[in-house]
Amino acid sequence: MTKSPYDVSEENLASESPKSLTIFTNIFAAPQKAYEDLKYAYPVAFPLLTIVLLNMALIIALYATIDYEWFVDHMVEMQAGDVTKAEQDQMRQGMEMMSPSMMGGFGAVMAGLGIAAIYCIQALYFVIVSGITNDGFQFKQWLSFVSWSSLPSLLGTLASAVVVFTSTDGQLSPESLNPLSLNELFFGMNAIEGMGNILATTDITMFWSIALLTIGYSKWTGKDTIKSFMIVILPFVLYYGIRLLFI
Amino acid sequence: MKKALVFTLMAALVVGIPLTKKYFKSETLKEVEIEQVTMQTIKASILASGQLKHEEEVKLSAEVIGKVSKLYVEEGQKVSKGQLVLKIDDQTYVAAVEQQQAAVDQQRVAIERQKMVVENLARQWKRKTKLFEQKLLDTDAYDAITHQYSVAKIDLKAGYEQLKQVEARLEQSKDQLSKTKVVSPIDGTITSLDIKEGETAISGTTNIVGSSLMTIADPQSMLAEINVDEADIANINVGQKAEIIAIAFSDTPLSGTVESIASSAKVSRGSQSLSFAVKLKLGENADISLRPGMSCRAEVFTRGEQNMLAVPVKAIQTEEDNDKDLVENFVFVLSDGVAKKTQIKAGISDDSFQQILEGLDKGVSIITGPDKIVRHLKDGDKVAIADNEA
Repeated sequence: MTKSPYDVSEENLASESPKSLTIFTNIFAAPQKAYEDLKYAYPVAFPLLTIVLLNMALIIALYATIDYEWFVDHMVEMQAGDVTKAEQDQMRQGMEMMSPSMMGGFGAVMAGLGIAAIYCIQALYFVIVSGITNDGFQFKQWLSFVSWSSLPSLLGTLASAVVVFTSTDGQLSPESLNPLSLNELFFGMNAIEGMGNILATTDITMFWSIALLTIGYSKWTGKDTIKSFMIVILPFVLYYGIRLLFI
Repeated sequence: MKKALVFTLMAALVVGIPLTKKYFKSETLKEVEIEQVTMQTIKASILASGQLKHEEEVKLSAEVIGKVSKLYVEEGQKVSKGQLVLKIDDQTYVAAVEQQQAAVDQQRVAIERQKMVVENLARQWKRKTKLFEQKLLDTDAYDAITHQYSVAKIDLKAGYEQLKQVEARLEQSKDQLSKTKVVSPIDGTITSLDIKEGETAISGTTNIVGSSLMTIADPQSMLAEINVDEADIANINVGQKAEIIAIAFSDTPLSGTVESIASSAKVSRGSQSLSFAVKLKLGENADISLRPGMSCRAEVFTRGEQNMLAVPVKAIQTEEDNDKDLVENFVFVLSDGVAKKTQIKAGISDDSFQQILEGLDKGVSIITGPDKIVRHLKDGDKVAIADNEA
């Protein structure tokens, strides 16, 4: 009897599941193989926890290194155009009441939850597409798919960590922390607002992830590359479209 | 092989880009403003805030309870000492006086009556004494008349005491009646009128509605009362010159002189520290309408003008070492495009400049702004002079 590609029985998983570390290596070096493996076993915890924990560690390290007085001034300055002087003073007082470690802990938790939420939304999008195309994939499979495909973002996280650990004065602004962001690499615009902010929050690894998503989607569903790319790119188009509208 | 190549590229990306940016990209220079250390005229001063007040000011309050039947003045009106300003309905107090007067009259009649009783008993007692001496009257009858006579005399004495009591009550009632007419205790102007005709005036000292009637002040006696922190009070002396700015007339500084310093400290409202009330007499001032209660701030010049080595106050940064209980002042000196942290010893200051006692020489360029950059400047930071300074 021929095995179904979607057979996720314990027996099948036990016999065919490659180790997460092998998939991790393949997702960067041999993505076709990685997605082939992920079709049969789709671990979520490894990629998701790796990304979430590393980002949380980065934020904690950032706030442990940062020149907090400078950071408070910087954050208040970021809001300067939108709020009154009294509101700025209130904001300053509010931030000064929190210690850097408390701020780092809070930021890390928020970042962890944010990343998990974004991946869930992306997975939900693929579940809806599956509902339309009847390809039979479920939420957990798509969450695993999205998480593994997002692993290149770790390069941005690690590059940011290098910036944090090599900083001598601690005057690091979160919006220009990632050296792989388009703004830091090519444009050098004001990262606080407008187009500069969009470019500062977009790094080159995102294109790598989109490429991986396209390859993986094509591999999993058997659709051609163009169609796969169109489906994969749609959430990104929507996200950036909305951000551009609010500039 | 392929995997090794990919991971090498990734490592290069992660470490190479940030390090390349850090060490090879031209460092962004912080644009700063500079000034040179110069000789400046500094008028050492102390800043404090307070209120304008009238030196001679009385707050009239009611001493009796009653409805205000007539108000003879209005706010801003000039009044002279002894002038009737307000009348409280006196019907009750007039009735009380009449009642007490009647009691006095009644007591006087009672005394007259008792006097006649005493006189009558005195005559009887004399007659019966003679009869008793002639053994024509027994001892019991004689003792009885003697007793009656003594009691009558005591009753008369009691009557006089009772009269004193009712007369005192009458005086009390008359005094209450007189308090229904409120007069001004000083020559001045009604600066605040807190009650209207028909409202009830209430006696007492608590701040309840109706307890305060009006405030009368001498407008010529305006002064500024400022609260000087206990840390600064030792430098304040009577006769020192001051510049006073009423918040309502912030463009018109007023001249003043320290007239008096409170002998004891108090905790001023909205503050936890102790301060001393210092009264500043206002000099000849511009034609502005000052009103009591206006907020003001004052700069009291504690030392005369002196020419000394100084830097702008905004250039001086302070570093506190809580462990060693040390406060260190420093400035950033511009040296070959680099900000050099230089410790200084600061002296007296005014609004704009602070005296330099040690650490800097005349003509040295120091970084003075902008504040948001100076505040976070570090020793050795590369800086450039801002365009408007160049």
